[in-house]
Amino acid sequence: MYSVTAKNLTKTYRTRVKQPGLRAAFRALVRPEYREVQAVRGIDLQVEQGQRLAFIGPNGAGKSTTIKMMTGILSPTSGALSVLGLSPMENRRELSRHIGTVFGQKSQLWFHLPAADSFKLLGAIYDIDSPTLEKRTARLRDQFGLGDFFNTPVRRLSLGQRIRCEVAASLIHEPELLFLDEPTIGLDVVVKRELRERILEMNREKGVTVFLTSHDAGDIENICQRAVVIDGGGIVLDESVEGLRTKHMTVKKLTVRYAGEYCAATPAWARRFSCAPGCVVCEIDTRRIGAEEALGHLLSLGSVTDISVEDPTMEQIIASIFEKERA
Amino acid sequence: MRKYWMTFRLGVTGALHYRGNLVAGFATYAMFILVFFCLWRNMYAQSDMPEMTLTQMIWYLCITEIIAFGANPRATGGVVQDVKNGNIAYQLLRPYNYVGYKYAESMGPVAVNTLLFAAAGSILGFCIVGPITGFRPWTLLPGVLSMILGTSLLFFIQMAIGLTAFFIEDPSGIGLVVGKAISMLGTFLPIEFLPAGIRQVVQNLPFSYVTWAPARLMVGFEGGLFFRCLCLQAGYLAAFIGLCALLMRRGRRAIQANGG
Repeated sequence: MYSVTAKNLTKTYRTRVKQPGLRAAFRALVRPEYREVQAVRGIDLQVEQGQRLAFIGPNGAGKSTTIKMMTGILSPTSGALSVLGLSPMENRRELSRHIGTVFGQKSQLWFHLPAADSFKLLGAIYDIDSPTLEKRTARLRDQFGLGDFFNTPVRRLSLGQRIRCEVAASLIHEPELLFLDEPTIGLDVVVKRELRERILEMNREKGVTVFLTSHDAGDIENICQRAVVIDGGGIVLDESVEGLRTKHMTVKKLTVRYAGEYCAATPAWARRFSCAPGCVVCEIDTRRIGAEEALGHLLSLGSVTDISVEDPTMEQIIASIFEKERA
Repeated sequence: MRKYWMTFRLGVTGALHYRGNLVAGFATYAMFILVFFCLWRNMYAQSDMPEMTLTQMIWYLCITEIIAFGANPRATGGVVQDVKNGNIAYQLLRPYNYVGYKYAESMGPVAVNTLLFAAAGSILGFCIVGPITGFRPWTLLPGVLSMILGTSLLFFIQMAIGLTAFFIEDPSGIGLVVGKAISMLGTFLPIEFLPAGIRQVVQNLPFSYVTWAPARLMVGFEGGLFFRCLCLQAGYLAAFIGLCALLMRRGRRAIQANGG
């Protein structure tokens, strides 16, 4: 059973070109110029029910446009799209009862109202009866730790408190599919961790499908099972997060500390090599040389006091994928 | 309907929280009425006007200005902002009718402000000219009904103008012209005072049914006029609701919310 099915999905915008200068402005009055921008080019994607998917890519890759098509905000130029068995454009209102959305850069709460009132209003909007609404509100308030500021107007909340309210509010109607567009943007590490835990909890307990876009590698690493990388409007990689780690983690950083003040010249097998008195830091590509072999070379150079082998961070892996695609 | 009722109630709550804004509004309202009172008193002193007595004229002004100050939903600006900054796209993610939601949201503050301005206007009217001779209090009911229809008509006119932001760069110019038409054709001056030819045209336009119809019915109720006003208000209301629905349907397809 798939929550999202997209076949050859495309979106083309027509934007007006505004040339600089007064003359160009007058010319545009008579003969306006337009430019076509292909934001999404033939995306094929299937997301299984209950899956936690990261939809990642550099700025302008087409991530948000794709999400907006999936939620029914934008109409696709061509292709077929089905979300929870519904056509987002044709059945927008029906679909909105089954999906939850959090756009980190846009608030969906009423700024002048306390979060408690926003929850009541959302309950009415989603036609939730009062006893059910009270039960759900109490559960979300406890789960997301909203108790201390639940009756404070949203405009007076900190960013972290507001985002917790936003995510909790997006779950008030118990959606089957949750779209999270950069939900942790601007949050500190503690709030980020709490939020990720809550999202995972919702996924485990209710089987909510999570469709996440984020520039934060921590979100992808800690929340998602599968990563789809998009660039230039098309999918360039579709891989499990574990697969990303194993297949693309070909670079390792070896740090060796020596008893004496030893220093060596850059060996041919190293990608990068830096040498400080008593310490060698070297980066290797495991497709060219195994970690064991490289360490063997380094150990033979002198009396070793400490060794560390580091994998690249998820951020570095993603950056290297983007760089490869761009190249 | 519960969602719209809840939205209306929260609109009322919000308006009660920000009641400080009303003080400046009351002062301007009172100044306005006093200036026009001086003007009309001099004009009535020079020649008699068979259309209305001075008392009726001042009460007419008090009522039309209650609508202009208190019952004006000012819907255009908010919708234009929603369309321009793309917020409308996010609001469409909820299972409600956007126009219906905006109507319920606007009517909360409108209800509070109208009641407060009505209280202020009544005190001012009684202090300046006293009660209208032969006034029958029950005629307030059809007048209030006409006022509700007039305010709703004003909301949907403003909403339709706001929704044109989907297709044109800035519809505030249209809003300005329509606002002036409503002011000139029935707010400052009852349409009975217009030349006969112009009156014939104006009587059939929607603008006069925002302020003129309710105020005219309250200061001098006539059964036939009430029936005619009711029909035209309901007809124009239906027409503008239809126009909003059409603009919304077309506009949804025109949404271009690119970028994160």
